[in-house]
Amino acid sequence: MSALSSIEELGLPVAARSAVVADVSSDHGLLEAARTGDEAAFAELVRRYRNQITNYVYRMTNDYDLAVDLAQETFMRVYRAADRYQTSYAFSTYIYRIATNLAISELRRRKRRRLVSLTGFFQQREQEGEPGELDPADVRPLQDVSLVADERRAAVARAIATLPDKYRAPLVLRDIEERSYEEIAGILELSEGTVKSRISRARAFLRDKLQGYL
Amino acid sequence: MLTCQQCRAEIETAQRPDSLTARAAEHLSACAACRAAQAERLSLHRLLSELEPVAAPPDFEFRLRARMQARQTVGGPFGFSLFAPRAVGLALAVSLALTFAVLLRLRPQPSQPGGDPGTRQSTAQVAPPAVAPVRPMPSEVVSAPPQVAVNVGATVSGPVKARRHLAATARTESARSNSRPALAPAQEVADLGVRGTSVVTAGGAGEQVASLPPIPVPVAGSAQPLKVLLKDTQGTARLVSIEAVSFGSRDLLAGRAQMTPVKATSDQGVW
Repeated sequence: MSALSSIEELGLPVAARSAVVADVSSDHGLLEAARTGDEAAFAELVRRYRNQITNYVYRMTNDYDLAVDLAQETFMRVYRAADRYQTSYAFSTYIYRIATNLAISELRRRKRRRLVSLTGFFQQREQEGEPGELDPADVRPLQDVSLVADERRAAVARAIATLPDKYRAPLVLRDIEERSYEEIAGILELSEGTVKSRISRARAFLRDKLQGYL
Repeated sequence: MLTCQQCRAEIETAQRPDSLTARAAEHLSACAACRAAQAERLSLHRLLSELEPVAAPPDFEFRLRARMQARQTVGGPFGFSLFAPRAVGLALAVSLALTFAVLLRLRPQPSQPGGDPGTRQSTAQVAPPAVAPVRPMPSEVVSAPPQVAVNVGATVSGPVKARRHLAATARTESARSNSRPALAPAQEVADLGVRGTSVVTAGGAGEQVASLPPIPVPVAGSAQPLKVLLKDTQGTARLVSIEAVSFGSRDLLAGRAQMTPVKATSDQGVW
């Protein structure tokens, strides 16, 4: 029996043929192809998820270089563990889980090392009862609206970065990545109830930290 | 109509806090507290949605490919799994070898002849090492022996100071001694011990304080000891007399020499 050179040779009806094509172009299909050495399939997976994963890790770590580094590590792990991948999960759940684990591990490692960072500095000052911001309040109207927006965005990013790990991941997944509760529960390997509870707590934390902006 | 708790749960879990069910909207129209909660939730949602999405850098794939190739090159098909144990083993072996080499290097050197390491004595009570008077050899020529003035710090940090000072003094004396008439080659051959002690020791224990360049000391004049002026940091000076010794002396080797303790003499003493 000779090898097939095209999908037409299968003799399938058109509808079935399109289903096969769709399957090949699905995440599962691409990973399956990557597993057999198809580099183009893996490159397509990278193209699909590189921005999402980078953005997600960036919101988790508030460090762009680190986010890129961890996003790449995520794809490398996907590639290495392609043989063990189980199709019972959505691929997005799978890759987000890897990225989450990497980000949380890195955050914990940093905490252990007690790296001095601005974020840590602000957090410490806040815990000591001092105002978290070093900038004194400026009551003058700012001329440039974009400056205000930038400052606000930076404050929000900082506030997210100061959330405890267990609250940060579900909040970012829900309110920034707009994932469903079910998917978040799958990524974090928690029950939906726990996810909802943690997101609620995370929002309460954020409201406290961002009082001046609400 | 929903209760406040149900309404807030819906506000919390809705993808967008302004897209609520009709029942929740009805409750909101009648409940100011829930309206405030919704307004807060809306504000936070607005703040979070202001965060601009971050994109991966343009060279993301290139860098990823490079990293993957680098790991494949280093550790086989899938990176560390094969490489790590080898690396750890290699690192362990190298560190063991280095530790062994350092230990070998730090191993105590065999003690100098006549020296007895272990005790250290302050310079105020410097007892010279046991020496034996050596009678002049008939063939040896007496020349003026050097008088070495040695300043030794007597404080806790004394030994270090002393070593530096001794070395400097020794250099000076060595230079001075070069101007003296040199011993005839025949004499040097006749008695290999015709050398000034090249090692200065502190105390009778013979602990090495400094190593001096060889100073030719004519053993023939052994009746007149070498005088060493010791000064501590407070300026107190003490002159110590050390009799010259030649370990190559025939008398010593023959066991005829008498070992006599050397006493410090007054500073009037000369060779």
